[in-house]
Amino acid sequence: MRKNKIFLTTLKICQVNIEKSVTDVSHKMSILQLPGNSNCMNWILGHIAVYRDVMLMSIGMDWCFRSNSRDLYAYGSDPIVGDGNCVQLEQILEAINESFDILNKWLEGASNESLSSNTMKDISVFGPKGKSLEENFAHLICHEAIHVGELTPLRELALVSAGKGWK
Amino acid sequence: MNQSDIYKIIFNRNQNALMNAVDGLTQSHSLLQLPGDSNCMNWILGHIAVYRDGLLMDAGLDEHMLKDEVEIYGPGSDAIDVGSTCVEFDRLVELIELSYATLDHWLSSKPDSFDNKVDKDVKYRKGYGAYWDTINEHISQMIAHESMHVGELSALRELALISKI
Repeated sequence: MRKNKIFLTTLKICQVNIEKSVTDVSHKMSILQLPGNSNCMNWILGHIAVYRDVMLMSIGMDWCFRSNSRDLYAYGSDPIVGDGNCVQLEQILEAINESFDILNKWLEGASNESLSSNTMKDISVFGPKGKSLEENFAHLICHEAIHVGELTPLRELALVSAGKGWK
Repeated sequence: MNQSDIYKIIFNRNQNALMNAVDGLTQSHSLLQLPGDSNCMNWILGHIAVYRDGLLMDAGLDEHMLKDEVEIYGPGSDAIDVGSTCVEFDRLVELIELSYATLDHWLSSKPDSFDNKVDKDVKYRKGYGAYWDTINEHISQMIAHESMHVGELSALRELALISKI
């Protein structure tokens, strides 16, 4: 099995689960908050969009997410607690879907040799892990999957807010 | 890097996130419930442990869970709430540590068995054990499954931290 399959499998599972998590979820629902200091769905999806762009950058591609929105969702950014200063859910999802298509296509053709090469653009501002594409992909894909898992209880919260799904 | 190095990075990230999520918590915290139908921490930890044990089985390594423990947390198992039959939190954390140590040791040895066929003739199934055709297929599916369940722990830890327990 080529190494690209490892990353492709997780990326596809993440994308499917993102799409399931946001089905029938509105922008307003994406800002609902769980108890404590965890992030809302809007922040998590924006954060995923930013780090999809880091993956795109690492393979020399252009960004999909609006550049002026990155600071809202980058590592260490403030939580999103209201509708005032955030990107509309639909726009975030457009960037996520677009980046998936590009990454999926690139990874399908990626050889072991191409994955062992260095990242193609400077991603130092995003805290890269090592120099090679494969090492960065290993970290970034796992990072994404953990955040996708965070959407599960937030979808449940959204369903409860819509009068569905309470135990 | 070879495949084992990639898997090691991912399991290591998951393990660090897992241990951060359970740090300082108790059995009572692990049974707290968020709104809706998502699972509590106790179920998620047991479920992760089952899937890790399934990988250990397919890889021919020492398995750590008892059959009774596996049955509580398998795919499609009932949700756990206060009063449910469940494994104690400390034992679940022990299982998470044991399985990680075994997996990390195995991956550090850079095994050449990733493309080996999985033995489908097993006494009972656990997680993805005896399900996928090769160990590589098994691990590549399992890491996504595990990472996503690890992510679910984040909000549950926040709930535990604000609880009065």
